[in-house]
Amino acid sequence: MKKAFVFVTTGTQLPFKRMIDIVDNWAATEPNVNVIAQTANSTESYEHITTVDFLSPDKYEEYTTTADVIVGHAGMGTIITGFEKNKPVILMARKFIHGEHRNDHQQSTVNKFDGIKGIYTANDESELNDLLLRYKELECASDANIESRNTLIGYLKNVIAEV
Amino acid sequence: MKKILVIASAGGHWKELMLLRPAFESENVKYVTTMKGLPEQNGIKNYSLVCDSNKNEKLRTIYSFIQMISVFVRFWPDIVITTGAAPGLLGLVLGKLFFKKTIWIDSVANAEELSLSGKISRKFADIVLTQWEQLADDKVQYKGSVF
Repeated sequence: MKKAFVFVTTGTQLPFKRMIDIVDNWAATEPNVNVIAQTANSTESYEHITTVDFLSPDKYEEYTTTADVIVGHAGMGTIITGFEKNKPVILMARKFIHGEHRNDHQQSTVNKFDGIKGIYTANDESELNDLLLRYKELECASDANIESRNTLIGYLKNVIAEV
Repeated sequence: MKKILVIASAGGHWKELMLLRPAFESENVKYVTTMKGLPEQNGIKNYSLVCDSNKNEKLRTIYSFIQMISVFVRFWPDIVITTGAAPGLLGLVLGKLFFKKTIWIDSVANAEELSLSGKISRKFADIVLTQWEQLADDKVQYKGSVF
């Protein structure tokens, strides 16, 4: 049986140890899953997952295309990738209180996208673990809501035309 | 055709920018980002790379600014548009300095308040856009959002 592939990303800037630790612990119990995690962190090593500090755009493209599930910090890059690639996305917000980001904006991002098809949000470590345990049941995300985007594009076109 | 300098750091900033690409692709566009190989992913040939920076990295910020000056002067845009972050802000500063149209588009990720760079751009950019209706005020406008 082909192993499921879970791709994990912490984005281009900062490590997110709290999330990666949970994924590693879960991977220990899932022999049929292959996990590759981009961690932005060269100092930690993990037993049950393959880690890389950063990825070239080509590798990111490859992994996100072949992944069965994408797990990531709640960055817009992760979310847009999920929509583009039509994959289930599990998000966990970085928290300022843990020193994981400069503020708590990722919590608002999670709130905005919570409940949208294919986007699953974990508010804490145990919710992340629960979602990982259900990885086979998760639906894929798809980019459907483009009306507001077209409005913004139309506005920008007008501004450009007037310059 | 108008010359538009379009700037976005790698990651979400770039991805949001790519969703807005239809807004300017009929013009003469030069893209600026911070990661090698990224523009090629989107089939973009006319681009320049600058190093990324944030407010805690003064030397990198200065270096990034020098790179941006070089890009700016050679391309000499009519309009500068950015979705962030720090390099985009530097591009807007140059745009303002040379009386070009400057547009800041704050990331949809910022729902509670404008990003730090967005707040700075608010002080001088011609147009500052939020993607959240509740963050609009006398200076910051809501004109739609990527999601």
